[in-house]
Amino acid sequence: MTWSKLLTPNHCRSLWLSSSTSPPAEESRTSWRCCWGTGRYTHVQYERLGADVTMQCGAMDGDAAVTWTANGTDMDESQFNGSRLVLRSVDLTHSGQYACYEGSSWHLKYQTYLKVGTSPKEPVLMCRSNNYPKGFYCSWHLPSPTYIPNAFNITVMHGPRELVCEKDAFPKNRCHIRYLQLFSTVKYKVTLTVTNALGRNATTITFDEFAIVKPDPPENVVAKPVSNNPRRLEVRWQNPSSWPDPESFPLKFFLRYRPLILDQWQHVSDLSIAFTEGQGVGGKAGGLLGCRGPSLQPPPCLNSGVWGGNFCPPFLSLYPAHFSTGKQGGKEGRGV
Amino acid sequence: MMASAEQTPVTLQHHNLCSRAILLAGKIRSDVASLLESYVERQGLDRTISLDSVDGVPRAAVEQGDELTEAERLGANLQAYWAFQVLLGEVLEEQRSHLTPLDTDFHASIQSVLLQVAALAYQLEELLALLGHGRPAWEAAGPEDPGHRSLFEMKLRGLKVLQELAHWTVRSVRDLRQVTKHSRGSGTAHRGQAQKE
Repeated sequence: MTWSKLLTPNHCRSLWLSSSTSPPAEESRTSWRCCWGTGRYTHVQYERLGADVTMQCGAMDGDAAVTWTANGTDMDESQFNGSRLVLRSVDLTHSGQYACYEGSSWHLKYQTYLKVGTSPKEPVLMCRSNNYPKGFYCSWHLPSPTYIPNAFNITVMHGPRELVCEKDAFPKNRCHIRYLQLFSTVKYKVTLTVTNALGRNATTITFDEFAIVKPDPPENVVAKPVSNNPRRLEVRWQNPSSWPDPESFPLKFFLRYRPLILDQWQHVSDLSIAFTEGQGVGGKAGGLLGCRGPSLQPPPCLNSGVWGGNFCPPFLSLYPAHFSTGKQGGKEGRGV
Repeated sequence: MMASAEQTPVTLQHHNLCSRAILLAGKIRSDVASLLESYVERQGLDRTISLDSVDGVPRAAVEQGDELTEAERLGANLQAYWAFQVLLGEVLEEQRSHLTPLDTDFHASIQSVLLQVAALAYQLEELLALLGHGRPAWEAAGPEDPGHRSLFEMKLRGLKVLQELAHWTVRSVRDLRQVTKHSRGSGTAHRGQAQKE
């Protein structure tokens, strides 16, 4: 489609919406955008990083005298080829507003906004269920920026059935799916396609219903010395509030601790902790300094959550795992 | 007059049975997970292989939000484990006769799971009887003529059996906990009623 000088802002809007739904191709790397209320329309042009770009000054003759500006600043004539502007091996600094004026009259003949970028690389996609059996979410990102706008489209298939992935308002790169079936051995297949004006890419992941279950960390983790027994510590915690049905799907917790003078974590097998003197940990909570971030260190388990309890004192952390049939865990956990 | 706040013997027995069944289901789940790993390795299969063509294995899948009665829940589980007893027996025989005739350790692993499945089925039968529910009908799947099954089909079928069994055990834990939860509620109601008298 082509633009005409007779077009009004109303025409601008409908044509821009139409062109934005067409797939990008070499000859349609450009799109039009309207500036509402001004009656003017701006041409947006997308070009690849490193490409040579030639801009025509509207309908001017090839050898007409013109002046090109970049972001309002006159450009050097060495970059002109007659009335055309030639930009060699464009980089990100070339992005900006370009305008062309007739030589003597300074009439604006052409205006465009150049955006230099790249086509998208294969996106990174992951899915996780932290609220089993309600549903799961998928989130994605690009491994490197494209510097131009991207559109993402996700499809979720469970066998022959396509499931709805409801996009989050924030962050924008995430959507939620509700489980329509439970305990199914049919795999889920999620395909994410990313498209921009310079190209398209996609990725697909396939997984079993249980494979993506990963509870959130335990909440309200508190460690206190036991009165009259400085060699013991009492730790309390709660199920993550995002886990909707701990009665039917109980969580099992793993606790690890580390005296500050040591680098190695020790795992508690029966949730009973006793410190010995000489390890730098006494009964004084005030003697414990600093905080250490959580790390994923699950022993072999069906589905493991994330280490939580990133708190001070920092030498303890807990994480929940799923599908326990033991007596550990529960609504409120406590270890001494 | 004043009723005891303790649970009735039937309720206690019910809870004990449920707890034991839950523990056993969890144990089966754990053993089947290990067995699956060794199965795919020994059969030279990829875990992601499509098993859609394999029929005759009870599927654990349920529609989200399907509300089953206590009898339906337990009955469905029992029927499944009855079927798995037969299916595991066939898988074991195929491994012994055709696929891994010398791997007696592997056969022992399958046998162990089979025995546990039989025990779980028995516990479910007891539970149904204790709760006053009838046994579900036993619907034999009518096995295909094993003679027409290729070696590859045997391998796929065995994998399907183990995969569905693994999912059934997770479902069973959920179902049994639901049954326990509901009976706790009923027990409370009974105690309240008794105290009023």
